[in-house]
Amino acid sequence: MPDGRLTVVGTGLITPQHITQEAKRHIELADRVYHLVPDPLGISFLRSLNSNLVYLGDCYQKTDNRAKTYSMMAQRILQGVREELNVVAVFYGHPGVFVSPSHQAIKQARKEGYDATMLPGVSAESCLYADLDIDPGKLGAQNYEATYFLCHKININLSAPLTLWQLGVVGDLSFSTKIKPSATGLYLLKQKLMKHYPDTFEVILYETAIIPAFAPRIKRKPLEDIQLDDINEVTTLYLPEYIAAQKDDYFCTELETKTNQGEKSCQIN
Amino acid sequence: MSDKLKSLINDLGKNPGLQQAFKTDRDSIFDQYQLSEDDRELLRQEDTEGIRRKLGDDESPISTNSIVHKAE
Ligand SMILES: C[S@@+](CC[C@H](N)C(=O)[O-])C[C@H]1O[C@@H](n2cnc3c(N)ncnc32)[C@H](O)[C@@H]1O
Repeated sequence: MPDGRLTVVGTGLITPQHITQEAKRHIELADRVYHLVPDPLGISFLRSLNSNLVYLGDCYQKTDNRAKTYSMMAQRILQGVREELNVVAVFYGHPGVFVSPSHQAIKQARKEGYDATMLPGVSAESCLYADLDIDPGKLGAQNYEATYFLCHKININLSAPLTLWQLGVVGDLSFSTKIKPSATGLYLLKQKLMKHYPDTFEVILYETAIIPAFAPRIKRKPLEDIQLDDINEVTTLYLPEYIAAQKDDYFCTELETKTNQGEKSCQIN
Repeated sequence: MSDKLKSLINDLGKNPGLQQAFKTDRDSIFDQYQLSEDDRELLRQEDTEGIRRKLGDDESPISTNSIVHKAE
């Protein structure tokens, strides 16, 4: 295996509070740290751990298409690995949750024979569970990218919460680096949701705080009333469950019967 | 770059007691950190964007973009 190595880590949403000990140690030990951390305090923190920082944010200015930007970021990260360095790439949140360049870089590095690992981080989803006091173990959870959700036939489970990410670029098929939701995208997303939920169904526009001690933004609104003005770059849309899940009588009864008959009635291969 | 603002935010992250006081008695914390009127207002309004702009500089830029995923 060649010498270069890639570790992809996340900072969580509030840096340094959310960063793991493991991620921190990897950053300290890296030969070079590529990063796309959006807030100045987070960047100062990274600099206090390692002075060899390379900011990937300028890639947004180099092309006007997000897909190209993400490939460019992955290629940059790979450059360091090919120089046989111990490279760490840092993204905010969980580095593998709705982050294209991290997955691209790992895949490419492995293809070229390098050791490449991703470490978990605190994602906006983890914060949502904490801020809204929701346990995905209770009713399940569904997560989709908003434009993907709009453009694909999805079997929505109305008995489980539905979380839509990247509302800030919903319907933007140009994949432009200028971030804004398209009015048409939002209109159609509402139309699609209102085919399954009542128009007046109360949803939550959610933004977790990225400054310690600040309150999260939790805006409750009827689905039909969501406006472009409600949406920022980091807004996540959360729809609670609408109808209770039906009990599966057949399997519940089977479970009871077979349990009473003892283990032998249920041989698995 | 506003060093006093930065130092308060850093301390808030490390000190749950200060976080609690920030919720109940902001003004005395502002006095303690000798914040400018501008910084106090940013904190009173919980103006995250304003604070990011204030703390960003050439070395620690604020991102113009937090979208890092392309829908397939
Ligand atoms: C490119 S993804 C990055 C997610 C990040 N890697 C994570 O682990 O949370 C950006 C999307 O994450 C969600 N997001 C990011 N910051 C957020 C915040 N402060 N509050 C709520 N959702 C956020 C929004 O849906 C946003 O459009």
